[in-house]
Amino acid sequence: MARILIADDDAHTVRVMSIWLKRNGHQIVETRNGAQALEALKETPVDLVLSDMNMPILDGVGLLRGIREEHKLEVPFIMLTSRCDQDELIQQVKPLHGELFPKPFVPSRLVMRIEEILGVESGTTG
Amino acid sequence: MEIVRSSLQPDGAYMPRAEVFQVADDEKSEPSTYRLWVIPLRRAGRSGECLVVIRDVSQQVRAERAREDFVSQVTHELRTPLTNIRAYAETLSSGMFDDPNVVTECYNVITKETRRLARLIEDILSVSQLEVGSIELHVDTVDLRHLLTEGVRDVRGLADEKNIDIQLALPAKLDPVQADRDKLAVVVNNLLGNAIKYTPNDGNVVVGCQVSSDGVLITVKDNGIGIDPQEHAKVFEKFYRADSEQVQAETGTGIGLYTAREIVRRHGGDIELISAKGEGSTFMVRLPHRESRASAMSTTSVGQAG
Repeated sequence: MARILIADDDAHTVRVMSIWLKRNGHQIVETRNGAQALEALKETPVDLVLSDMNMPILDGVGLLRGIREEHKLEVPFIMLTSRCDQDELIQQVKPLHGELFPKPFVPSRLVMRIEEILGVESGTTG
Repeated sequence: MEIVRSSLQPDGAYMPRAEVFQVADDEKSEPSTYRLWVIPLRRAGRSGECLVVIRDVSQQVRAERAREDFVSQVTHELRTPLTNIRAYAETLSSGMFDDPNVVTECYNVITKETRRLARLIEDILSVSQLEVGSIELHVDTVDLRHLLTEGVRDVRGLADEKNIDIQLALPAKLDPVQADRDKLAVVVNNLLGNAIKYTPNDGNVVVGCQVSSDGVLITVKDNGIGIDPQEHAKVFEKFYRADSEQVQAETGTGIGLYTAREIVRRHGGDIELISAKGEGSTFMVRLPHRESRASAMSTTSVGQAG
């Protein structure tokens, strides 16, 4: 199964996604902001990054930029966002090959999307 | 004086129109915003003359920007607990997680986040009430020991998460006072919430209270990150949040302390702050004695008679 990095300043969001993804056999790297995530990525290669948009120190766009421009990684990137100005955000995220997933979210749908990207059969359907 | 941006067109003089432009005194200061109207005067023999009205609208523009920031911040703040409630509810209802620890955790998070959502809505409502001045005080006899004990109990969960010790240091005898119980509870909750938020793990918060002939003094003292004296006045401003990394790392809308002070001021009191960066903060709520309801009523009738 895959190794997935989660970056979110809200501990409950990190935890609930962790519970769901671990159930499907994935390994989780938990971080609380973009800077921590970039640091973790130096040590640990991952198959997908699931990040919040609004985070202290370094936000989701900053993290995505760091991953593409500094780390030169083409790892799939999903950004969770509750921001109203999503059109503007898409303009920033799309050229960097990231995708948006709206908050509030239903975990099973997010897991399905993650596993679709990873190309693994989803264990949460049916 | 330099014109920063101007949308004024030289050919636009035939229709009354409003244009907006900004003028900055220097690079550092915030530019002032003006609205300019050009109204042609079409009187015989006066062609080519027009009336120009220029009005400083900087304050309206600033207020509008603060309101937009607030709406965007509030939307984000509301969606965070909502996201968790929804995600944990689905975790429960999916039936895929039967580990009793996970189930308990789900219930706890849903309860906690529902409370957080309710508190946020209360805050937002109280701000809008304060805005239109409709906030009415329902003054009654308040048992301060009970009020403060409940206040501490309400935030115990938040404090436990960070292993923060909250002490209630009350004198043996605490006379009841005349105040609006619910609104005073909001003040205590906001001050305690603030203290816990800006105190690192393993810190401590002490709540004290004294009633003397001068009035009531409630203190909330923490050993947290502290507030630079230059920021003391600003922390009570509506929607104000310090720029520091430590403050931005916490969620918040910048209305808690504003609401607290407004409520205290409506009681005829004020909140004082003693703090320095890195040295913790002490918020001191001073409330003057109010007459009990019976004597207040008699005072009113005397006032009306006179």
